[in-house]
Amino acid sequence: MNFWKQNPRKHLPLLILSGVGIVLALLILRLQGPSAASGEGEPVKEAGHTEHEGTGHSEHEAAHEEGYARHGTGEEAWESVELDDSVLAQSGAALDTVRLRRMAVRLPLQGKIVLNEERSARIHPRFPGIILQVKKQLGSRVRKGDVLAVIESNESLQPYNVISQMEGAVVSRNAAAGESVTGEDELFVVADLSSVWVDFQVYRQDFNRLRLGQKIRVIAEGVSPIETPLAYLSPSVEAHSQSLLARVVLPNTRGIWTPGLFVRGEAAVEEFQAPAVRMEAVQEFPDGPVVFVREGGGNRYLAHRVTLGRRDGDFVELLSHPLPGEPYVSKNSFLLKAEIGKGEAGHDH
Amino acid sequence: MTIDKIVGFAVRRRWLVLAVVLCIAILGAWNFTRLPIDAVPDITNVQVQINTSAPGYTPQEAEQRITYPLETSLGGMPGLAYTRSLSRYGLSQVTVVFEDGTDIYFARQLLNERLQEAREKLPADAEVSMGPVATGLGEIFMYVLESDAEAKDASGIAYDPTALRELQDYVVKPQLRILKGVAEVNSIGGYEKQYHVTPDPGKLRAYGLSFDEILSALKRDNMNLGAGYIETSGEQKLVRIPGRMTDWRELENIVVGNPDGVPIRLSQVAEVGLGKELRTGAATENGKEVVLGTVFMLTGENSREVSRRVAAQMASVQNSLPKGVKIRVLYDRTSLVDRTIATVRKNLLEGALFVVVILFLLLGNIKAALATALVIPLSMLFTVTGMVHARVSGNLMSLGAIDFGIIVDGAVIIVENCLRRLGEAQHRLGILSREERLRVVREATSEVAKPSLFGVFIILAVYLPILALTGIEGKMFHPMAWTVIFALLAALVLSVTAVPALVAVLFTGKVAEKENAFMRTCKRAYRPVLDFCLQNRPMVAGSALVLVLLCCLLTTRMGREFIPSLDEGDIAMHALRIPGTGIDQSVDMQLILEKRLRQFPEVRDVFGKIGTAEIANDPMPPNVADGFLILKPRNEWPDPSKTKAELVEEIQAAVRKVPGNNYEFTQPIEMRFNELIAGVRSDIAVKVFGDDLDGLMAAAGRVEAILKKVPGASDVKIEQATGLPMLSIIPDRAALARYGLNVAEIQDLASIAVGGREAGDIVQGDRRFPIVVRLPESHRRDVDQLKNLPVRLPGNEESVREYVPLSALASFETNSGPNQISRENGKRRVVVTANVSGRDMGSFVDEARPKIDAGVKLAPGTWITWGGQFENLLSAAKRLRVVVPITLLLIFLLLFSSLGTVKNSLLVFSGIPLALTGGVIALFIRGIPLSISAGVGFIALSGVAVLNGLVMVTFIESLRKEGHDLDSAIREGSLTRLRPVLMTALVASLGFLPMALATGTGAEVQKPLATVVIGGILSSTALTLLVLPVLYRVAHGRTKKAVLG
Repeated sequence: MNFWKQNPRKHLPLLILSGVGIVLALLILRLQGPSAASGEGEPVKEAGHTEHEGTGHSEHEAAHEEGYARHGTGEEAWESVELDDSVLAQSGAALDTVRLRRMAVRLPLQGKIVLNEERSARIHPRFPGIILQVKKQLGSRVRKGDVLAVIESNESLQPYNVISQMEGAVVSRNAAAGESVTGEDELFVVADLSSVWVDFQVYRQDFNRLRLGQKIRVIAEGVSPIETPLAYLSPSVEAHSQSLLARVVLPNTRGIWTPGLFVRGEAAVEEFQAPAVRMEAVQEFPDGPVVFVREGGGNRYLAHRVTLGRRDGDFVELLSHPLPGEPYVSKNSFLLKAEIGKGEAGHDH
Repeated sequence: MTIDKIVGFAVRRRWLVLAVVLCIAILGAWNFTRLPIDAVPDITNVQVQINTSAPGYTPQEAEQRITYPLETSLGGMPGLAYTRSLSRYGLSQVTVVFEDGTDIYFARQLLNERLQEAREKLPADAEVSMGPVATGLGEIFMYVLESDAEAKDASGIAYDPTALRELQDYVVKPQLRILKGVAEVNSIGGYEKQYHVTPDPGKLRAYGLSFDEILSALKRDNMNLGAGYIETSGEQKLVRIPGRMTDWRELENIVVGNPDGVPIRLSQVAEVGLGKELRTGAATENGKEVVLGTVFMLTGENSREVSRRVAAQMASVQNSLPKGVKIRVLYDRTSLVDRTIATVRKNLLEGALFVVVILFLLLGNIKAALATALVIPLSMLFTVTGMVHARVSGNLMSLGAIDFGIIVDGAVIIVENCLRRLGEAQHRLGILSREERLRVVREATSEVAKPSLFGVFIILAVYLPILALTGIEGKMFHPMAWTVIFALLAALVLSVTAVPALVAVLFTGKVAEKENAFMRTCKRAYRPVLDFCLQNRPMVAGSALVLVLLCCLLTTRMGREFIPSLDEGDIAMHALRIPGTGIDQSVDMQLILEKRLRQFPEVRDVFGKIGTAEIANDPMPPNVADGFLILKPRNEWPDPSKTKAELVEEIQAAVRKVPGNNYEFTQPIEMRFNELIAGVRSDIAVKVFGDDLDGLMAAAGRVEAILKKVPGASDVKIEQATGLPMLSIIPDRAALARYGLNVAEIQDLASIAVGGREAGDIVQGDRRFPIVVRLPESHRRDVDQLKNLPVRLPGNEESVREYVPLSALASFETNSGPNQISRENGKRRVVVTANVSGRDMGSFVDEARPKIDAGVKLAPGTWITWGGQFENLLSAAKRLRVVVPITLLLIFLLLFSSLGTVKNSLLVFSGIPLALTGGVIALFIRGIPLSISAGVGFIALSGVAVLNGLVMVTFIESLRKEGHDLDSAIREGSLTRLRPVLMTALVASLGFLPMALATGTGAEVQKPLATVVIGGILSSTALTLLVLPVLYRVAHGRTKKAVLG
């Protein structure tokens, strides 16, 4: 062009200028994105931010590679988590191994001690009359043939003896001298308290869990519990409370089980041997319960899906893996659940 | 002209003027003591929280029975901006946000009227209260109560968390709440003292009793009654029938049943004793459980004074506590405010000193330098008066933004001219008489008053866009804009009154006015460079253009942040656990965490609040802990040069190894702001509104999936609305009907058994402790035991009482239910949040919106709205798009009215982009991201740049009018104007130098601003001195040719 030919040297600096400009522009464009510019002197917020946007993210990914690698076969994928022993100990977590345990499923029962009707007698006067004399007091021990009272018959006007036909103690006395009584009146109850009954109420849902002969543990305050077989199951249901009567016979030679006392009972509904873990060890996941099993003696714990069976106190039966001998987290297992789930822990206002 | 009259008056009545100025200064000094001072501006919106505690309510119940009726009663209130609400276990919180500017007490009054009506619709056991009158800056003071291990109370029992809580509630709190400026004292931690009556279900059954009899017996036997009075022998006696118990042991003897005339006492069927409330919050400190108190400051009070008052009261509180119980202050706002103010003060003093030195160097006259510098404290005191009256608090942003260099610009120009003219007059006439001196001063002032006033007006004008900002940005920067405007106005007034008066008073005798060595060196260096530039005009103009273009490019590669946050010196650390984590578990996990944090030698104290405090101003679930790390002073660190960011990184690395927690790091004040201001803190929030929670969650899940796939999306999160484990006891209606029971009986029984029920209280003086009936702990915890809970069957009185177990009447299910239910403007909503990285938010939203519209099928009655920070940014950008051009036009008009031609005005205008280049480069070199703070710096910069150009062009024009030809006018003008240009530039940039280099508390907020101004002024000065003459030559040269041709 004419313009250039006129004075090319005059325009050389301009050319150099545009060249330098373009080179610098390219350099600027090669800088990394916005994050490159944030550097020194950044306040904490920025650091916090980086945690979220930068490292926080990569931590999450790294965590997926190391910490929360997913395990399991086929379609199932189970979370696992890596924790040092020292960390576990600090956190109050403890390990145990899955063991075969003798277990029993217990059905709790409420009951009341009553007289053993087979060993007690309700004594009525043979003839109506007037009581002349009462020979035994409440609580007196009687032997077979002992005279309890003397009654003058209204018909014969002769006195006759009311005699105990069995050995035991007077547990009820409704007789006083001078009283007029008929055959309807129960004068004495003599009972042999060396054995009593316990009548338990069994509710509908538990009807078919009880069998005759099952061991039932009878518990009352201040008395050491005693185990005794189920002796009687009533064939009919009590209409009002829809409950069944279940009865055991309790030996009571020391006289500590007093009739009228409310007691608790535990029926050993099932007794069996099974692999079991502590209830505390079981954590609920959205797709079911899990137990944290230590893998291969390392620091990795696998959130093992389990099928739970029957429960006995603090233990619960495992119907699936893990097998006996495998170490699992028995205390403060929530910590591992928290560690696995912490990614979703958020704070919204 | 009026300015002349003012100046004339000021010079004539100089002593009067000075006396008035002194009076105003004294007023300012007094106002300084009244100025509310805080570390940062208060950015909380006008809001009132309505907290309703509803013991035992699940999120759904809290929402349906409390939140909903409350919300519906709020509609149509004047000034209402929006409502949002949160329903959690045992709590409903409705936050009512009013439009900015609404008087908070008026708002509360209105709200109170509505609440009166709403209360009738609420369940009887719901307690509604309004949150304290406090803002995000309100939590000024925190302390804990701790006890020595061997400390015992009168009855020889060690002080446990329950006892400490009692002391907090009845000894400490009443003494603090009465202090002036304290809005409320909040307690968290320990257990509220309760007396528990825990009946054994087996025994109840044995005696044929139920909870009802126990509850009614407790209520019946624990009452005082007055019975009027009797008059005997003219004397009146009041009759009183006391029945209230003062000792819990009396409870044991209450008769709960009387079958066959045999009284059954409470002790036969139940245990009575001290129990633990079902607490929703706990507090920890340095690895142990404590009771923590937080003092809220009343809105608008002076935080430093209130926290000092609280600190002073602490000594007497300590004296009133039993031996062995200590109160320990953990957080005191005073220290932060003091540190911040110290930084500001240091920066201001050093800046002022720099300004004085520069003035002396350039003017060569110490009196002139002092007269000019006196404008600094005077305008400062005037500003304080203005701030007090405009209710602007003194803080980092407001006081920290004052550049004395810019403020004295006007005065500099006037003093310089007076000095020059006085010098010239003395050369001509020798020592001046008083009249001559006054005349010279008056003339010299009037001569330059107009341009200097123009300059100040222009700088004022550029602050106008800041006043147009709204929302958080507005609250953040309005104080700054107002302060600067006050300061500039004060300086403006002073420079035409006090300054000439001072000059007239001071400059008696001989005036030393000569160019000193510094100015001579500058001139000597300037001349050849200017000549070179004028000869290579295309080169210079081209370079400037390239520079501007490169800087534009550079800005696209720089980091961005909203507002750099103040380093509060302490760390706030949220520890987040999975939903459903129990409070005790959470405490255990927090204690482990604190033990680990204690190992850092930089940490003085570490404490935490878990869950919700007594006043639910920040309702957190038990799985969230607000942790605070109070750091030691830096000189006690093993390595004092370690930055806080490094420390935070180390802490992050350490706590990451503590299992089960997720963390968020922030700072105490910042955290409160975040909690109060918005439900949503992320860039983008997609809110799904509707009725059916499951449907909302499903829709939100699809939104989340789609958002994740949009390029640039990061941290896509869905609100934790579900996942709270629940045990549902579902009544079997058929079974209930068979037994002749109804649902309420089962509900009552279960709720008394598990949650407990209050049955009166035991009063000891002021202290009252509720009596609660509930199951023994061993029974409550075990679901199997609950299943066996005996339910008494209805029957006639004589028959034997029959019972069935609860499991016969209800089924037990464990499932997960809603964790919290959030609502906004009266509708349920689930929020999906996302941050945007690597692209701008606008384009992200434009891309994501149609994708979501297409990909998410919404059920009828469900809709989606978009919100988040991007909304604020968009609205701010929209406003600025209108305001900035208007401001530019305003500046242009000011320039035009001063210069008279469009061309010259445009020339001066060109200084703005050129000045910005320096700011951008300075930021880039220091590695500071672009932020609103930096933006404010650019605004201030434009003003100074224009001022420089104006000075230069005006002078060249006047030289040309005097008959100089174009080239010589440019050269002559540039050289003569070197001094004022250099002076204004140097004082303005050096005034900010301490701020740019400061490292103290709060420095990071001021740094971007100061960096931009310094960089920009350096470049703008260089460009004004070199490029502007060239541009002027190019522009006017062509005209001349055109005219000639």
